[in-house]
Amino acid sequence: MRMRGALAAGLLAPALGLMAGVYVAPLAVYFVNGFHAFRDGRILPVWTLQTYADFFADPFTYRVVGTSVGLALVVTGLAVLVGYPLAYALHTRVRSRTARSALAVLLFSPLLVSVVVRTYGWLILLANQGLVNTTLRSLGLIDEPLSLLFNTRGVVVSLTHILLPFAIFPIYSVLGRLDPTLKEAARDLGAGWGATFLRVTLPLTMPGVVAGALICFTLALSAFVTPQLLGGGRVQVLPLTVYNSTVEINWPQGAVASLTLLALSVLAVWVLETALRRLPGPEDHR
Amino acid sequence: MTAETDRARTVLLRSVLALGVGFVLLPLAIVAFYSFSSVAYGVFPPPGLSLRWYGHLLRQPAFGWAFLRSLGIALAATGAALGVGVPGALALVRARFPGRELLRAFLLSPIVMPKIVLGVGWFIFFARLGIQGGVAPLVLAHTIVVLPFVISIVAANLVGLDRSLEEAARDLGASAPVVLWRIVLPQIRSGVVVSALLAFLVSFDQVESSIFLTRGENNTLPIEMFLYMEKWQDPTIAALSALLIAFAFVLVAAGLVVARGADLRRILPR
Amino acid sequence: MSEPGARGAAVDVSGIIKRFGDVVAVDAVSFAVQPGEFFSLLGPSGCGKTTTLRVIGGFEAVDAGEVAIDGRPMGRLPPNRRETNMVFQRLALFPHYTVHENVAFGLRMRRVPEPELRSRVGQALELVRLPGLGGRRITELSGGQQQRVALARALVNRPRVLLLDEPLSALDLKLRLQLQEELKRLQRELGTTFIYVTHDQGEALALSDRLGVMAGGRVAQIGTPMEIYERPTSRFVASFIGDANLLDGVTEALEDETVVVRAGSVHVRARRTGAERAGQPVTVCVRPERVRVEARLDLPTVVPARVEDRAFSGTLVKYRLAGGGLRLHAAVPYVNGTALFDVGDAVAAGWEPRQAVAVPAQ
Repeated sequence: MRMRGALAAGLLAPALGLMAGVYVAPLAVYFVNGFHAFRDGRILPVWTLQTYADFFADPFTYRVVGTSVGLALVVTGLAVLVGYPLAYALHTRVRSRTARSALAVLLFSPLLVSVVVRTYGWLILLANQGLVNTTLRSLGLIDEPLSLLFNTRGVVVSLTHILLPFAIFPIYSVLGRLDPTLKEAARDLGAGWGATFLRVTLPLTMPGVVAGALICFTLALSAFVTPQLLGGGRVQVLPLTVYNSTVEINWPQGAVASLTLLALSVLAVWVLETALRRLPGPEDHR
Repeated sequence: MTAETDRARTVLLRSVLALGVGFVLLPLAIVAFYSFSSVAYGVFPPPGLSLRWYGHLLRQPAFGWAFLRSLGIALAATGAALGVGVPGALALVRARFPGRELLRAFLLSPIVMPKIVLGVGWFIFFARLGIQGGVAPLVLAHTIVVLPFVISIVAANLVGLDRSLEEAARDLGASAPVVLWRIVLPQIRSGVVVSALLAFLVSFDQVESSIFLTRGENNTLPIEMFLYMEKWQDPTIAALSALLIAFAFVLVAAGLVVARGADLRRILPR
Repeated sequence: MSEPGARGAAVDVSGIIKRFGDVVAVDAVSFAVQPGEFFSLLGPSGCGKTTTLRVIGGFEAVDAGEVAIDGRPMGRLPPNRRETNMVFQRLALFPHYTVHENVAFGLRMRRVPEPELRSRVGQALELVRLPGLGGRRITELSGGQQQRVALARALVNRPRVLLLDEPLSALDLKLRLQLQEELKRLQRELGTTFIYVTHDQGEALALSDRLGVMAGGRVAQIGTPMEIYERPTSRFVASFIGDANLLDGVTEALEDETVVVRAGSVHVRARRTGAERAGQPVTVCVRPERVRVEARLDLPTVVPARVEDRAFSGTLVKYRLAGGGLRLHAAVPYVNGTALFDVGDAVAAGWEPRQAVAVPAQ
């Protein structure tokens, strides 16, 4: 029973109307600003590509893009590297279903709390006299407190923490769909745990890894609160450029930076989605 | 590989899992703990315990108003997203028309959009319309932000339904809208609840999409906290955060009770 | 119970007990498989045959009992250290590898050098009649082809024992019969010991040198197909294998070579095995093909009966008869000139006592 066109249109109209008016229109208006100029603290509504030219001629732009992409790559990599063993342990070494649900909720729980609160937690943890430094000193591992705040290091740790659940759950989900007899077959043919993992489990769970990496990368690229609060001004990423430009009323520059950020996100999505489609999944038999 | 190495591996993986959970919960725990510190500067372990920051918090009405504002906006945005998103999801799943996949991608696209970009865009747009700073732009903005969550979760729930129930209802004389209202919607109830919960939490947490839409005296709570933290980092924020953490856990517990028995893997997409 | 390693067996299973929670899936199962034998485990779903197979392969740990292969006790050795290879019910072919890579997997695990590996994979594919398909992806193959790849993947490693878990159950009839023939040929050619699990008794009877019938976690009977078919030792085995007339009665007298049983209102005779006692409740089992139907019969066992139904199936005429308080099925070969009886006719049905067997009633 297919839904009649008239009914479908009626059901979609509110959503489409809302999106057109509150999503497409504002973005269109905003991006048009990229074609205006900004001089002497005022926006001149003339059509020009000068703002674009200035933006891409400025070496600072490339530093910012480099920092953004580099930071996103590093935290995505860390989130996946830490997340995979956690997802694997949760899937294979926790027997009872209630324990697994409880642990899943715990792993998911930070997402329920504002990113401001989570970042604040790291602010306390990474302070010179915070938990991390105090523990390391009392263990005799360091003499001087490590400078973990208001630089890239703190941002990396905190951002990885925030992204970790987004890496864990796609991987956990794809592990659940892996046919256990494939592992038995590998063992039957002489593979130990290592060979089974490297040759069967890992390749067939790659779709989950890529899906997780996709989510983490796009979130990391557009992260604002964490770099702002923990970066101390030294971690210049694109969202901060957009913010600062807006505060200075330099909306044209903000628009250009925004479009650059958007383009990078879309590029990442396109690359990873293509990779995702090429990978064999855990259910590709018969 | 023998049974012994397998057991060792189990111990290792379980320890890793425990460490992981510990890492994940660490910032939340430290915030809660820190809220009871007796001093204003960040030192671990704190020299003493005290409730003074909770007292200090209660003497800051700004946070209280901000909390209520966030609450109201989140409720409004969730309601709007449900009202707009559930019918939309129904149409997306059940109807066939050219460009359907494109439309779906479009409706889900706000998730990929960097929130700061949306935030600035809304600022300029609503400023042009002269209503920047009011509540309406915030509600509209938050609705757009949470709409993709509602649509994708409800759509995933719809896909798994047994159509023969609806066919039976039609056979007994029900029209299409009646079937939707009486047969389809009741079946996706737990999916709708989960998406509503998620929408609420996401709206409550919005910072960069909303930071230019508020005007000093009517900040939402996360923005109020964000601006406070840019200037001061005393444990008042910790006390507030501890309360918010407790609030979030209560919400989840409530959600689990409502969704009890429902299979989470069927409710959440992918 | 026998000592592991006795009788020079390729596989010696003794006293295996396996529990899953409260359920005893395998209950003190023992048997020995001779080298080069095609041995089947036959039984209905849930009888424990697959679990027993998995125990032999090392996929399940036992609660009691021992498995020995070539006299070596396996203990708790994991599958990758046993000289067995398994063909799984759902094949478990690696979807992300080509046919060649699938078949080569076991050899790679053993670090067989590349040239030898390539030639052995080629040979294995030839053996299963899939030459040259090494480069294909698994998803491009038909069901029958995938089945053969699974076989090749196991056999290329030259295991001492090949374990097969209902490998043909998902195939349609024609393909199944075809692959049955191939399996038999392969086993003969290679001389590898096969242990084959199935619920299809026709398959088991056709393929096996010997088979074990299982029910409820226990072995009901072990023997050659002929022995199982002609001389079932229990009512279960008699009814599970082929069609059988099962006549419940009481042993009345013991003669030299026959036992006289009162069933219904008549006396029937069956072959004497030596374990019967007078007064013992028994079930007489006689196959429909052994029941002769004539107007008049001169045999030690004759039951006057009436034809209730007649069905024709190509080479056989099947009669359903009632007489002497008994229901009988007879399958009479049809050749030109055979007298046919109609429904309602009075006939004499009977058999040679040595064609029937009396098993203890359950």
